[in-house]
Amino acid sequence: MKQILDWIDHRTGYRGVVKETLYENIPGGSRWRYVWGSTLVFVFFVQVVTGIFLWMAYSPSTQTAWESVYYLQYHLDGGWLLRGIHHYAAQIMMILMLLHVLQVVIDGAYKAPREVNFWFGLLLMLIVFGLGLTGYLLPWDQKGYWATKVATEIAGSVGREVPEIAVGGADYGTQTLTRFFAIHAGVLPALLVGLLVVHIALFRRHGITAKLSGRREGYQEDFWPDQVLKDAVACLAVLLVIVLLAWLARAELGAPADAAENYAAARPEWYFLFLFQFLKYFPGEYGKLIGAVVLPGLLVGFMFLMPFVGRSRTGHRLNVAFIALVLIGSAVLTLLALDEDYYAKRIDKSQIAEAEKAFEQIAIDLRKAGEGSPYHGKEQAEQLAIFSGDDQEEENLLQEQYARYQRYQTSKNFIEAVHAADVEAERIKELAVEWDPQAEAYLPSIPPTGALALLRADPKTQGPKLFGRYCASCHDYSGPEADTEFVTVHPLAPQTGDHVPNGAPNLYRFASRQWIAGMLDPEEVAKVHLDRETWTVTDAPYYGNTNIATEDGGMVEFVQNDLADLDDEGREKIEAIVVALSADARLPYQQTLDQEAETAGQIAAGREAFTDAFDSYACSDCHRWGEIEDAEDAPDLTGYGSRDWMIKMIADPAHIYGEHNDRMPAFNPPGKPESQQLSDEKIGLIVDWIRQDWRPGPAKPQP
Amino acid sequence: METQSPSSDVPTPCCGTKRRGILKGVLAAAIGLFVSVVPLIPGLAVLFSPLRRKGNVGGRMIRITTLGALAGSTRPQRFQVIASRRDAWNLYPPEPIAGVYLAPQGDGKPPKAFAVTCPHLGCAVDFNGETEEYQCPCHTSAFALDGQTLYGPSPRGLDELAVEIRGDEVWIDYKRFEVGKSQQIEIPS
Ligand code: FES
Repeated sequence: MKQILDWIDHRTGYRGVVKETLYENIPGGSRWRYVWGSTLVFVFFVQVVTGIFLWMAYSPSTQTAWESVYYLQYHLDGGWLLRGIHHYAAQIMMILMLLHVLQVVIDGAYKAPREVNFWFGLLLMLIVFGLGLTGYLLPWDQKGYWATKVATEIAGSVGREVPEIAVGGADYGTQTLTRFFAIHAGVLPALLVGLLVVHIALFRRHGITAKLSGRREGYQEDFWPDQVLKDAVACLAVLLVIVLLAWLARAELGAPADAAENYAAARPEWYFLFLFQFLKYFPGEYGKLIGAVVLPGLLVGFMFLMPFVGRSRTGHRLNVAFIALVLIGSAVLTLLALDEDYYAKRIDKSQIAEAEKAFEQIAIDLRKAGEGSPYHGKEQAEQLAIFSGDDQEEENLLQEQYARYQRYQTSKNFIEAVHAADVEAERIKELAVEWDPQAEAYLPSIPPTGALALLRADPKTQGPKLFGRYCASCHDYSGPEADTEFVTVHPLAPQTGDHVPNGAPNLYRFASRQWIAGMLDPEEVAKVHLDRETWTVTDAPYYGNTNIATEDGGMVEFVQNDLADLDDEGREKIEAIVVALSADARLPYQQTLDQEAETAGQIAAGREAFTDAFDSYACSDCHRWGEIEDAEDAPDLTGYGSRDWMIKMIADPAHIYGEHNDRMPAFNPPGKPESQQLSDEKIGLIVDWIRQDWRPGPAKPQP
Repeated sequence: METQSPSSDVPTPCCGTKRRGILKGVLAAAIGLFVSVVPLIPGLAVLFSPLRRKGNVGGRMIRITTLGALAGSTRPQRFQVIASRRDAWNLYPPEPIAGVYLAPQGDGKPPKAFAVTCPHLGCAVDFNGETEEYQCPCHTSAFALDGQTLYGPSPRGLDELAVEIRGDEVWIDYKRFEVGKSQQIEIPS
């Protein structure tokens, strides 16, 4: 054995190297405070190892980046842990780096002859920031996409060319990913390794910056084994923290990036949050340049000068004060950023109650008087001023509450956006797998066009958004049943409350048995009324405040007169009609009920009852329905509530309601592409959502 | 962690007692090894994921062509196997995934089907109409009309796939086999 080692040593001189490495002298002996540098190198090692494995799984393009990360996270063994470790180690690295810099400055380790090494350290710090920034984009989820977009726009304040080079064109795309990936996995790590070698070599050259006092005076120890043991234990502790974090709080993967879908919750990683907050105080065209480039640049610039500033005792104190100030400032900014985002969670709503009440009154006035209202076309602050009239005290109170109200609204939007993003991230996991009968398992089945295409075609998540945008200003959508929790409190669902400004029907479970029964229930339709006080239609779920509800000899009148005092036979007839008419909608959630009704002959009975007169009229006296073609004045009920029927209704209501149509606009009138507001696909998404006709998630829980 | 950097300091002899020093050294080395290996574990798990994936054997029935397309011909003809295919996270819509030879067997008899994959090392064989044999362009294996090896390094004859006639359509039981073996061993998919 010894002979072999001698032979190797003779040709490599490894013993000398080992000796120099291990038996470096530490004046004052090994100490725990010397471990920070080693832990940093260790975390970098972890990043290199996990990074290389991630590299084997990652595919940088707009159709595959998110998909490959998804595949890694949910379908490859240990993928979630691999990604988790890389994710958390990056953040731990930031913290360790902070401690390291802090220690160097406080100990004055930048002083002669260590100036150059201090500068190398600062360069290393900048590279680590760069790694954090570039890595955040790579999963190509909504969060990373929008946050990084902000970062590159900041670079745009220097000149348009900078982001164009970084992004590989005017827009974010595959070239952005290939570039960021090469920078993240190639350029920056290579630079880091090079600088790190010099950094450590110089450190060895100068030795540790020891503080010798008391018993440590004159005492010294070798690097091996005491300090190595301390370093190893520290690395072990760091590793445990990283693995524990990765294990307990799995690395997040949001919904795939969508340039067309604004993401109100775009925030950088927490360690850049202070900069994000800082920018809020620098408005205007040059604000971002000053806030994000000039000032941070000056700050880092000053750090480069620290060795010269710190030559004197006061200078050193100045340096320490400076770094303390920067740290405290960053901490405060970070907390402010978090507080602004989560303000809505901690605020007591009574603190904005007066302002909210005022806005409600203003809204009523606007509805009543329209353009004649003094509030018309005014800013909210001005409206409050008008509202309070001459009462200065009230105005002050309102304006004060208004400031809070604004913060509350911003924060609420943020929290809702985060929640909505979570819901979409969960949903895309359901959509990304399909049952494979051969493998007898759910397998990832994303089409080659990418996961975003799946999400965009999903009624469950897109329907409520579109409904909110195009329908909710008139239509209500709310339901009491517990099992409908998803649709009623769905975070993407439109905000509908007690006020239904234009009073169109509530479309929750439209054309279901309950809905049609309600439409034919004299009690229910009697609820239709206009509240002259608040100028709102309250509780008009079936006919709304439309001319169908109010016209003479119309449907509501019929229901109230003819269907009011039915005998048992009449009630049975109505029930049969409800069942039969609702079956025409072919609602997926009513499928079994409809089939049972068919076999029980209820549907045939309903069709018969349709032609039977109640008090004076039969339904068929006004309505056509399938083969029942006697009348043609009232809407044709063939396929009422079915997918086709609803699509036609939204595309061009006059097609179904003729002149009875009230204010419902045609969103895609046939033959008039110029007045199209919604494409066929989008109408289909809304319809499928209202019909609750979407792909269910996997039956078995996914790993 | 800080290794391989020359020091200008002159090493001085250690001062702790020797036994404690050795104990500490062993402990330090053990922990060092441990923390260096742990980050590798999830990476290796990911790397070896494909081996743990259990596929299914048994093939799948795929429609190739109609009897009409083969009528009147006695020569083997090459057809595309069109099916949907999975690749990592993707499920592709049906597209050509492989080739197959259908060899007519005369009136009334269903054709025979041969996979185009050469059982030697997986090149695609061509049918040579003049010599009436399947020839592999890679290492010149050749196979007879019935799939038997005529000459060359192939360890077995062409892989025959089961044919089923449904109405006037020709379906095959599409399977893949490991190359380089004298026995047919199906590759699970
Ligand atoms: S692959 Fe066909 S002969 Fe080698």
